[in-house]
This record gives sequence, C-alpha cells and structure tokens, in this order.
Amino acid sequence: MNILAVTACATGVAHTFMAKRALEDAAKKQGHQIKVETQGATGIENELTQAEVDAADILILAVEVGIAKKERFENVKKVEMPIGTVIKNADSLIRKIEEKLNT
Amino acid sequence: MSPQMNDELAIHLSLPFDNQHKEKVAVLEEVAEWLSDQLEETIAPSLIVSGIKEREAVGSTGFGDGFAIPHGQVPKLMHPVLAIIRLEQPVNWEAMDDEKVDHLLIILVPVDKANQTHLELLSTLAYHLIDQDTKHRLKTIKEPIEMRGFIKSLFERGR
Repeated sequence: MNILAVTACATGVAHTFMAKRALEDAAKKQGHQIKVETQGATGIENELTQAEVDAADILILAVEVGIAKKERFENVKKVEMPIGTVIKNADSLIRKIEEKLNT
Repeated sequence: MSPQMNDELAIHLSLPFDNQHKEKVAVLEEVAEWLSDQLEETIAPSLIVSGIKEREAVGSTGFGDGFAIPHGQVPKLMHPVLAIIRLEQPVNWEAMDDEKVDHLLIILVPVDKANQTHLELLSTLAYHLIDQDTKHRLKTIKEPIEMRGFIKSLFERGR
C-alpha cells in the first residue's frame, strides 16, 4: 500500500511526532510505502504534495485539531483515528486498513 | 562579563537520581533543587518547578514505558537545558499507559526564545522516543559521556 498520513496533536509537539514515528515504523515493517506530514507547533513539516495525495491508496488523519490545506485531500480515501491510538497501536491499525482495502 | 543568550543546549545528567519522594510534585521539587545547582545562572528551584507545572497542567508528559518529558519556560535562563534524570524510585506521573515513571527527560527553555528552540528539540526527542532501541539505551547507559554522545546522535538524526 501507498500510505499517506497527517498528524496534528493539540499542543503540536510531542504526540504529533510520536505518531509520525509510530506510523512510519509500522508501515515499513509491513512492507508499505509511507509519508507522514506533521502539522505542529513548528509549522507544517514534510508537506504532502497534490501529486503524492493523488497517487495514495489511503490517507490517515491522526489529528486532534483542524488541519491546514485540507483542499488537497478532497478526493483521496481517508480514515481518521485518534492520535493516542495511533501511538499505542500503529501496527494493528495499519494491518486493519490493509484488510479493509483488500475486501 | 554579562552572559549572552544563546541556542546552545546544555545537557545535565543524573544517573541515577536518589529521589526521596515518590509523588510527582515533590519529586519535581527535589529535581529542581539539584538542577538549579547545576545551572550557570542563578535561578530559584521554584521557577523551574512552576515552568514545568504549567505544562503538566495541560496534560501529563508521561507517555509510557517509564518515560516522561516535562518541559517549560524558565525566566532568567540564558540557553536551553536538557536534563536526563534516572529516578531510583519510580513515581506516579499519570502517564498514558498508567505505569510509573523512572526516567525524566526535562527540557527548559529561556522565555524569550521559547517558541522555536524547545519545540524543535522536543519534537526531535519525541520522534525518537518511539523506538524501542532508543528507549532501551536511554534506560541502560551508565556513563555520562556515553549518554551525551547518544543524545547528540539523536538530534543529528533529525525527525
């Protein structure tokens, strides 16, 4: 799978980046491509381009706050999940997404 | 010679720290006393504690596996500080996994530069704290020199 994600926690510092890492590790372990954009207190990092969004199989939104530049995501398949859950259960979440996409 | 505010990170280590208390605020006070002694600047421990408490009030900085990342702005501080404290006695920190905390990674920043510096440091640190191997090393490295080198390598790896 070609996975994209945006992480954005309330204070925009710790959990935002922990979720990024958790998703990256889980996706790579399961053999998927992944790119994670963070929207946090340091601004937008690793920004997803429209081309990347258009080529993605799924976009994971692990956000607690409103996100910037949402227009990019109008036409991509999305799934929202709480950032805390992502940090704790990234492995099983990625697995579940794959199951759903394959049925 | 008047000290210049700068971006250079000062790293202070207490491996281990023999805490007498096991309750969050009391431990913070103990650690702040020690940290105040380490700093070049003359800063009352209470300023360190209140800086940290302000952020803890928003939500516990304990994120699991025995780690917490208390952080805050401290008046009169001239440069960012990272303190790694390995507590002899685990403390209830109301952490995400409900487990006790025995490793504090404390970040203090000057008030004026608070916005960018500590955010970038915290973000990078947090990013690496998901990694099991990193957590293991932070819990087991005994030599201060080795710990300093390890921390530097984490910051160099970026996020």
